[in-house]
Amino acid sequence: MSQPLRPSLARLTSLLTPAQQELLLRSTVLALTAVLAFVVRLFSVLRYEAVIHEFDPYFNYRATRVLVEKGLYEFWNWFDDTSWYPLGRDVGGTVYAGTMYSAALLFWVCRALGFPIDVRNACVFTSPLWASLTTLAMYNFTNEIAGGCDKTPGLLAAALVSIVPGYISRSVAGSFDNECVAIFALIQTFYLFLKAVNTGSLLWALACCLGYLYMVACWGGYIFIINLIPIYVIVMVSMGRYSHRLYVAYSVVYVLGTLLSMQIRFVGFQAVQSSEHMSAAAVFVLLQLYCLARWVQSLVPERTFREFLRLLVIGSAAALGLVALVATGTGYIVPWTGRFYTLLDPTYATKHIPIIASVSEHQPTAWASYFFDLHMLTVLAPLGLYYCFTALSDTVVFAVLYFACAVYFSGVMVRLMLVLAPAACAMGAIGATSLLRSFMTDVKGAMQESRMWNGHAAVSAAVSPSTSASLGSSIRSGRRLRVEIAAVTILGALLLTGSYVRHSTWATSEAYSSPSIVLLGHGPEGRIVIDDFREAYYWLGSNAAEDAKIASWWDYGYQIAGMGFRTTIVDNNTWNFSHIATVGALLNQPEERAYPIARMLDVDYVLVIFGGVLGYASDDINKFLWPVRIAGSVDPNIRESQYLTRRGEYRLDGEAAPAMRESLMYKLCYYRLRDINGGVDRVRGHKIPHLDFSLQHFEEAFSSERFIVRIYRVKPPRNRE
Amino acid sequence: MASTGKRGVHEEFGAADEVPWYDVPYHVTVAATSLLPQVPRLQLATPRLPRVRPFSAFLLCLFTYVLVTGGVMYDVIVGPPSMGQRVDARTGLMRPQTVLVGQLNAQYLIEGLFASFLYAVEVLALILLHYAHNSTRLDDPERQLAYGASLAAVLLSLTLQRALISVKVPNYLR
Repeated sequence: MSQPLRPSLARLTSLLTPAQQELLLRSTVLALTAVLAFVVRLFSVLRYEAVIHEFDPYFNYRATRVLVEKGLYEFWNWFDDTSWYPLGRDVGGTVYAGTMYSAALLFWVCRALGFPIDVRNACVFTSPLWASLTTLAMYNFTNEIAGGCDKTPGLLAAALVSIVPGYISRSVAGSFDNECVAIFALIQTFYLFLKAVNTGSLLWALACCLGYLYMVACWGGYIFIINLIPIYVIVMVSMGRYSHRLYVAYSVVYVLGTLLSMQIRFVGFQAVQSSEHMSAAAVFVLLQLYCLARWVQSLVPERTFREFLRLLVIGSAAALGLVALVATGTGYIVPWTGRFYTLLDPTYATKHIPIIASVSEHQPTAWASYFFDLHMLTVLAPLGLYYCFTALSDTVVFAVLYFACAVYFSGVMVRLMLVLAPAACAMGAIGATSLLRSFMTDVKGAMQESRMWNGHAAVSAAVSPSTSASLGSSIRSGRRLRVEIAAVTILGALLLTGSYVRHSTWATSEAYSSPSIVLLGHGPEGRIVIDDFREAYYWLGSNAAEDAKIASWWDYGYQIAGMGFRTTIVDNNTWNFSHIATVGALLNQPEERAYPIARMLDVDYVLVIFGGVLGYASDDINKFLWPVRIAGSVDPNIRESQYLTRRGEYRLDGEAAPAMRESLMYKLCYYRLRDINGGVDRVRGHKIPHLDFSLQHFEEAFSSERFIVRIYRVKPPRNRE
Repeated sequence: MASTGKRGVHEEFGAADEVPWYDVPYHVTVAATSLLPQVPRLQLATPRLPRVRPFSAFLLCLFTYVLVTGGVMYDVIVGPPSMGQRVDARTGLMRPQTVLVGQLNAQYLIEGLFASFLYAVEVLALILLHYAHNSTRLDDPERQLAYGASLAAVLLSLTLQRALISVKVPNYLR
């Protein structure tokens, strides 16, 4: 088999010039990288099934179904009256729909090609597919940064990003979230912007605007782009690197990009009104003034120019200040949103906005997350930064800024590790290739030499005069050391890369591929699959009345709507703070006071998640302080301290606070626990003493197989006392 | 050329004895502005970043990087203790514990700083390796020393890092 193959391969390669061979090799490697990026994300599909993960993806899936089944216009006008009961939600105007468009595109393309896939599969496989696209975008992006005709950094960056755990964590098959599509859009936009800066061409700037439009359609993180690019412009100007290319690129991207982003309904006039976008506008104006000043400078003598500059600065500063004052005073400019403010002042959310602080992905990052998500890139990326600083160019400045901002943001919020991961890959690739280049030259040189002069060495040794022998040998030993060190370094780099691959695969398989809707446990007979969530949601879907209203903590709203098809009171789109606080109050008040709230919200069922029987730690009892805090921020009568012991501890044993023991959540979770397993809570790790209570206004309707999901029916009010 | 033209215009204005009607707004503006407080003479140059050596800038960045990847924001917001304690299984006594085992997104002060310090060591060692290999200013013993030091530092910190993550995540790579 291989015998006839080899001559034909040799004939093929002899047909190609070295440049063509290189191109062939490069595109093969790149294609393999893209395939790898797809394949490594399939762990969850192979281990479980093609299932949608976690919370938000269920909403995206539901929305995609609406988009595919009813069409684009219906989707834009979609008012969802089954969530946020009784308020409803204007989905078309409050969603970043790029994710759904992408999945719908995949669905339509597959259908057009004759593959009969359904919407769920299209949604599940959107994220791996877009991750493959990201590797291609990354290749271009890194090469644009590195410049030159050597394409190695790009290839390495593509390989690194295809398996970097920080990105995989949000883009395994089934985690159909905004981010999985948006990272591709982010890198692509940056690449196109750098291309525009490098060429000064309107065409590339226009392409960048389209990329930006896609990014805005996909994810709220587009704010990062519209702030990073102005910062870049400011830095470039203050470094004296202003050029007309930069001017063209930024002016086009700002004006057209803003106009395009306003076409997204969720953004709309925010693009010219909210404070997050104001820095871009200010930089746009400043850039025009700067350009004007330079133009005038080229026309008039120095003295006149100084005079002009004085007037220009004072005049424009006054005008800008006045505009800013008026705009803020009249309320035209909307102040910063809480999330953005948290990024600038990391302690803000914990102090003022519990609902942002309550989300686990908004927590600040500890060191282990960095190591876990980046592995060797934690070292290679700063090394790349070093090489960037030694050879600054227009694009390198951008890379440095992107990396620096991403590092800072990832420190504030753990979810923004996702934005850092590609930056670290680009930097790491630049670092590794720059470091290894000189070593590689040595090794290659030595290999060629030994091949060419194999027999020649003995002759030259005999011929060389004895006087210079000592000098020659010392030079030769120096060279041997160089080559040996080079070989060792390259070997070490290979080993390190191998450990990176192992780490990534392991992290993907163990940590990031769990759908968290189906759990895996270790029972006495090996692995057991715990499918309580879907069991309970299907129960709801088949047993509750069509128009039943389900109250639960907001985490489970999307899942109830996506799998149980019932109306929810609050869900993961946390747009109405007081509504969530009301549900929080429902859960943390005593039964007598919770019942009127439930009647008021017209609730038919209350759903709680309780892991005590199985030992599932992220249940409602462990989250309980958040409903308390959030309810307390609306109703000052509810205070966190009421639910803690006198020493300020959160306990459920004999010392549990009375308010805790009386709360509806406690009762719904621990109801009949003594009959179930004798009253042991396996998450808290002890027996629960206070279990002698009964429910008067609620009755148990359903508990899943392992009691993770417990659903209670709200009884109708009693006719007579 | 443009400047002489401008001066000419000024002279024409200065020479005019009587004010034509269309110049009234000009003179009113001049009179009005003279009432305003005099703007101080400013020596303005376009703002420039101070000239820093690239390497110093890099060191500054590296320092910040080390702080952030060591979880300094986590330390500020959550405020963990610098070290913890655990009960020794054998003796039942309290023993100090430097690594918060098992939780990826939680840490003690010490372990975070130690971990990111290792990054810095590795980065600087790799830069030293690069320098040793490419600099023409080193003689042979110096070069050998630099090679040895950098490789040893890289090896040592990689090992330590591996050990640290194995303690942190008990089932690491298993």
